[in-house]
Amino acid sequence: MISSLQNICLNLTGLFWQILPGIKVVFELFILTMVFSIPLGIILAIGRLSNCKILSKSIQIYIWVMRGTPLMLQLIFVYFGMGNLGINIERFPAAVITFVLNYAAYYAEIFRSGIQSIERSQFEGAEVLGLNYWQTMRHIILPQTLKRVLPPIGNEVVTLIKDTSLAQVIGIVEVFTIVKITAAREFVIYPFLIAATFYLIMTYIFTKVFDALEKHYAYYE
Amino acid sequence: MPIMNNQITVKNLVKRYGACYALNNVNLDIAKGEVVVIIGPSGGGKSTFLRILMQLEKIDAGEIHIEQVCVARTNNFGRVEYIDKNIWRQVKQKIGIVFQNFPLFPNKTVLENLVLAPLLLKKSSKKEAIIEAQNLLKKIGMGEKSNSYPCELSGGQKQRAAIARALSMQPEIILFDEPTSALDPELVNNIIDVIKILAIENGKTVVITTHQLNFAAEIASKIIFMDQGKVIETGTPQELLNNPQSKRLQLFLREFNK
Repeated sequence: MISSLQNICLNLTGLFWQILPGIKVVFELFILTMVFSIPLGIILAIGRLSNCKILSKSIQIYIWVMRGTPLMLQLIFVYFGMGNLGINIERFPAAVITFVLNYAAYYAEIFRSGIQSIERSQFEGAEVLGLNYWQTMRHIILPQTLKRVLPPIGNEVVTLIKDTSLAQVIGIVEVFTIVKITAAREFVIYPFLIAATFYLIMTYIFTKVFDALEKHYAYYE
Repeated sequence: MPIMNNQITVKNLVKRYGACYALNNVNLDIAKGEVVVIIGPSGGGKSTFLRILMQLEKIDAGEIHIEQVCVARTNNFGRVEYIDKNIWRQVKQKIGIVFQNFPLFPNKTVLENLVLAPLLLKKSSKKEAIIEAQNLLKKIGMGEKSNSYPCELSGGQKQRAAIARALSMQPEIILFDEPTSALDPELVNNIIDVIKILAIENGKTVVITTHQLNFAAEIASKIIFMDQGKVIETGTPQELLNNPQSKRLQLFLREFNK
């Protein structure tokens, strides 16, 4: 009995060291996606709301394609498809590019609805003071939008943590890949529980981060 | 013509919403330093007129001059041409507007609301802008509220802050769109005082729309009665309120005094 417990503990520590590089990959993919996709999402949202019909329509189509096809398919397309076209991208950058392009489409819709939820009188209030479009956006509209879109953004962030596991389809070794290999090799199920625990801890942390952000922005209204 | 003294001149102004005329051939001259109060029933075109002056609404026909600059006019083909955006931005700095529902920026403190435009547009130094804003706030008894957020203010305080913000760019002309109608009656006098202190005593040109006739009687140098998109009668408070000529105004006043 005791020896089997010891055995499990040993296995667990062993597994932890095995998945550590995977955790690093998940973190990197997660952070890089966040850092680039949110600003890109804001830019896309502003373009989508612009008076320029061609710009607005192209962004609509972009959002439709990115949200309308599986992320897994997009990963394969960017990594292998681009390779076929003679553009060779490394696995990890290919994953980052795909995740950024995909998540930016979701963020674009979140920011669009956020911007549109700001009362017209706020735009008019800035306009009559003489502020131009970009000044109005930067100082009045976007700060208020950011506060309003925090809950849906938090939602996307949690999804993103779990979606990083899709990167395995282009051969990226992240947490889930390692866990799967171990489970198959030793014919046991507990590595999956470890993976589940990892994702749960990550989502817990970021849920708390977003709670704190929402509290921080509660200083007005 | 004494157009030289006029800060606002509109000619044959037409604004339609579908088949309905919000403004139907309006002609008005407003001279420097005048305090013009526009009265009339709701939907009579008062607010639309002010919004058009700020170009928050487009017009269907007519001509608008502000500070001797023609900012919009119907051309020979019957289309309305507006002044170049950059020139308009300069002209606009000479006009401020206060809305009925005081849309302060909720993400900024009262002081930040006031210094935003001077810092961005006039390139004033931060210190200068802050001192000016604080002086303005002190004058209207809001000195202690400068670091409050709009959500922490009462309706009357919000409107006072909104008036101060409209004055932060030191406009020559200030438009008030029903500045008191969203407030409790006892606050009306307070707002009238603020308008007197900040605008009228400084010789600004003031245009106010209101439902409140006592308000009009107290501060107006000229009253304009508008109904169904038309200017029905114009005159001094005594002329209009004590001796109305048109049937429509007589009826309006009788209803009001009931």
